[in-house]
Amino acid sequence: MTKIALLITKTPHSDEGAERMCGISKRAKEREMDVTIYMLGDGVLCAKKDQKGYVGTNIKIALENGVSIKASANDLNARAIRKEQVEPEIEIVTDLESQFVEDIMESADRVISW
Amino acid sequence: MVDEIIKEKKVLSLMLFSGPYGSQDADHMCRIAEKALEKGYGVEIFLYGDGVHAQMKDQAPKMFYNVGEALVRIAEKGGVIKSCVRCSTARGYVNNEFDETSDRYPSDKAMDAVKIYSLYGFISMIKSSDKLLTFGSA
Repeated sequence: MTKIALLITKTPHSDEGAERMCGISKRAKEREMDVTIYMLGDGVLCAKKDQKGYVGTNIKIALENGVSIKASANDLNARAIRKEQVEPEIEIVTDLESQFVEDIMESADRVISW
Repeated sequence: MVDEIIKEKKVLSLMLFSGPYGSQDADHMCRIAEKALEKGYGVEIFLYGDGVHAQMKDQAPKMFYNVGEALVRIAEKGGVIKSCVRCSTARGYVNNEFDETSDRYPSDKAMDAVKIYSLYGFISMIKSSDKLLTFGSA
């Protein structure tokens, strides 16, 4: 199975990055790819639950479809986002950069960043 | 020499399009580069567009993560950092023609950790790269 890694470091609505990430994630799952999304920096704002609009809706759909989503604990803390405010299926990771590097170098076939 | 060593390892290539401090793009790139080096991967960085401002000597942000110091650490740990000569010339970093001896365009404003190079430096980087990540917008 093809594995793809998607890195988002931008907010959900400041540019089209998060929307493109959701769109690519959706299409990749339709093609039975293994998809992991890594949320770093301002990208952790995409992890907030109960967001209205395209990104919030599609993050939920992605989780329902088996996309694995990981958010940086340091970046959530820096933005005062508590665990209860994050979509419960999103994994909060202490050293996300480290895990991201290992995953993209050892197991992902492709990586895309926004 | 460093280029030869780096090819013995898996190589992560990183391209930076944004200048430091206006966004966290440079911070993310440097942190990921340092993690990759810690894990034993080779790292190559290419600075392009406003990303070349990350090569400025003596950066001294009072509160932000110091991108200049991070690039020096990355180079000390074996990372190869190049920047685009056209982008660097446009922003006033280049003093003279290409210097064969030091294999770089000379600059008194850019730190020694960064080699100002032609865009062919980027082409050779992606040829030897296992994964390529971009940060910022062109």
